[in-house]
Amino acid sequence: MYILSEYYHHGSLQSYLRYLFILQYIFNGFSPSFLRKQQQLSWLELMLLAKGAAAGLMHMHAIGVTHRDIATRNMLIDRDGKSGEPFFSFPAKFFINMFVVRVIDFGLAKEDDDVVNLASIAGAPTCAAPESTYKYH
Amino acid sequence: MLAHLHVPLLKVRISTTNLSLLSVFSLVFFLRNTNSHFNLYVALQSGEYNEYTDAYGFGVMLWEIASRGEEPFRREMNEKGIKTFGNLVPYVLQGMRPRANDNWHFLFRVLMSWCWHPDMKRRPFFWIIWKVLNEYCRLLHRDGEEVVGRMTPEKALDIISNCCVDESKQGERIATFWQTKGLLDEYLSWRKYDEGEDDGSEEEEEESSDEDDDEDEGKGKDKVRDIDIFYTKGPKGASPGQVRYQNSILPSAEPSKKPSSKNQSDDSNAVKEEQAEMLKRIQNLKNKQLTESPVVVEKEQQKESSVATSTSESSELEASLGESQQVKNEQALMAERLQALKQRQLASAGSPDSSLGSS
Repeated sequence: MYILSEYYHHGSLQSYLRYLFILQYIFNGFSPSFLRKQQQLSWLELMLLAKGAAAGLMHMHAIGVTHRDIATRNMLIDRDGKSGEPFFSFPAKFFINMFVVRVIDFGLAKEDDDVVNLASIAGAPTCAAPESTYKYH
Repeated sequence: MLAHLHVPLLKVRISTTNLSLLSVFSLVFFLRNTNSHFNLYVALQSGEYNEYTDAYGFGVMLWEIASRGEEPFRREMNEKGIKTFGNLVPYVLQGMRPRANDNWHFLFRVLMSWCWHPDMKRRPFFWIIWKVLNEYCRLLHRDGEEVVGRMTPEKALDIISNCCVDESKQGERIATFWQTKGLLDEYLSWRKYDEGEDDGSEEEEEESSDEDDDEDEGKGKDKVRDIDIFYTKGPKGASPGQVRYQNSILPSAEPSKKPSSKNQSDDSNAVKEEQAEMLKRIQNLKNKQLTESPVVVEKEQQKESSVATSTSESSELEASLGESQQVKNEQALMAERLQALKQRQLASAGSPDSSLGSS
């Protein structure tokens, strides 16, 4: 967003009448396939991944936003040299020393003040709590 | 990442007024289509969504992490022949959860079962989850995996309950007694569900080895001890939410190694104090018996004097003796514990000589 505003001030984006989304480049997906590939991860590293996700969700809940679609496919691993966690047995070709977990996909996130829809499509049924599942019978 | 290509198209919020025929048709299509994996990730759900349901999702995420990328409920669905996630819902409502492997870290299993509590208000807050994970990461950094892996479950629960202190409210314990109690209860009941499904006598053995490092104790005693942990500590009148425990909720595990000579005097003192408390309790119980049911006691004496009694009288007596029998049972339990304490005391009295001799 900083880059976008900078360009806007210089007038380069005013001529193009279209929307531009400049997004942060995030290194790797913290997806089931990633976990399947990295079988050698120790419990400490798995715990650090979970801790990073919990930190993000803790912040979200502190400002009053519920994510409503928590799954491993909605967590990404990013490299961060300053405030990240050390990642020991990560393969050397990825060249990561420190990582940080980023929570993505706020398409279903909801603030506390939002009007609640009675019917809404949300999330994976395996990750949905029993009280939030639709009663089929 | 393929899931992201498919899912955003389907993530359209529909209110009840806008529920058109097309959307209903598409929903039916999603629910019926069993071949595509990605379409199945979307289902119609109506109900509550708040931070507690987020905690449930986090529990499933922990399962996915610990299983290193398996699909949750895949094994259960294969075993029971469930083809759609829609048919899975009643099972989940009954209490079925993705099964955890016993090789996994204890913390993962406990956090999962805590996050999957059927009563959503008993699930942990995310700051508690973060604190627990942070503390465990610190311990793993410091001591290594072997030391942390050898930790008893009670010690682990002790650490977790210490992480539940809200420092912004002057050290108030928010996740409270009943939440940590529910933690272990839920862990046990969840295991029971698994055992009931699969006739797991082996799992029971594994569970006992998980729960207790000293395997000499029987299962009945284990149950009694669990109840002791959670019910006999703290004032009886106060509700569990109001009770604040300055010390740890769960007692630290008994040291299996030889205790040092300095601690032995303390141990013997503690044992004596416990014994005194037990005696007091027994006296109280006796007094209770005398004060509350004098008639019953008289009847008992009559019964003892006259050995041969008719069946009708005995049935009446049983009805009246219901309360006193409970008291008696408690008394018997107390007596058993007293004996155990005496044995322990004898052992502790005997051990300094042996330790001195060995050293």
